[in-house]
Amino acid sequence: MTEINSKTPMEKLTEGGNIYTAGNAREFKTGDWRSVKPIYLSEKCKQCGLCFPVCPDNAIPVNKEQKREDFDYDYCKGCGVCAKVCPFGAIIME
Amino acid sequence: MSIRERLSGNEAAAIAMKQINPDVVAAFPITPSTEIPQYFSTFVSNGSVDTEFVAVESEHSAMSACIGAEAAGARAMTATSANGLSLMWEMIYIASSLRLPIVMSLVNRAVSGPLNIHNDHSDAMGVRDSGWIMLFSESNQEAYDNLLMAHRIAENPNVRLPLMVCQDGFITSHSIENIQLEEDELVKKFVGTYKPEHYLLNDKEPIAVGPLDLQAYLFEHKARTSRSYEKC
Repeated sequence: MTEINSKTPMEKLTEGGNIYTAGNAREFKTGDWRSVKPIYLSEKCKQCGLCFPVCPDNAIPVNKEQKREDFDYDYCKGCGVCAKVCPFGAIIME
Repeated sequence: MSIRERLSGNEAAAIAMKQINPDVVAAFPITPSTEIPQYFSTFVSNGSVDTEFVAVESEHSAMSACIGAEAAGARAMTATSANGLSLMWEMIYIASSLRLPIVMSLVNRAVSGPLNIHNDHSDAMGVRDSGWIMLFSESNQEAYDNLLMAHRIAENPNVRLPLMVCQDGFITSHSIENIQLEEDELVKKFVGTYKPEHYLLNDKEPIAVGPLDLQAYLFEHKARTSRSYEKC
């Protein structure tokens, strides 16, 4: 499915545009929808874990030690929900 | 050996549907096609078909149910007329653009108003450019024969388009004519079983049906639909 792009001739498209593979949402990078950008201030972060569950996408990666890392700007749409829930001011929008 | 009978156009259509024995029929009654789902629901009740009959609350829902069933991998049929087809209009385009070979028995009637329940072709002409194949039947025999052929045409891998079999409201639908029916077994063999390549209920292949189709793709998909007519 990944080989289909805007230059693909119609004979090579699937019928009705159907998608025959699963788990391809990650190929659709939505980061350029963003008009404001969250900035992660790691020195203020207490790793309380409130931010990543509220992210409507999957733009706050959590590592094996259960600690959040910096934003994945390929998918962050800049909604600002994470900044709103952070009790420590460790996420600012700019 | 063909069976000699005398039937109205609606009876002929309902009997064709009985012999086809589709997986799903979703329909809402509207004159002059009312008798088709009415007779068909009798066949469901007395067990002469094993179809799931969905008694929907509108034609929009009838076509929606057919789209869902067909995308899931089932063979779906419906019947309607005039304003019923008008109410389906939105879903008519979705059925053809998703390349779902749904078969409809359309009993042509003037779209109101002034209110008229009799025949013209304004209902079918309203969806002329939607991408459905249309077969027009001149007699009860043709209404029957066209329905028997419908799935073979619509489901052909080179075609894959929904199809409506049209007949004239009251002129054929309520007039009794001599007709030759085919044997049940022969019809069953001719129509065959529906084996789509891709379908939603296939747990081996998760698929997405009807995704967003923006500027770069829409006309390519429309052009492909248009090319499929040439293969009918």
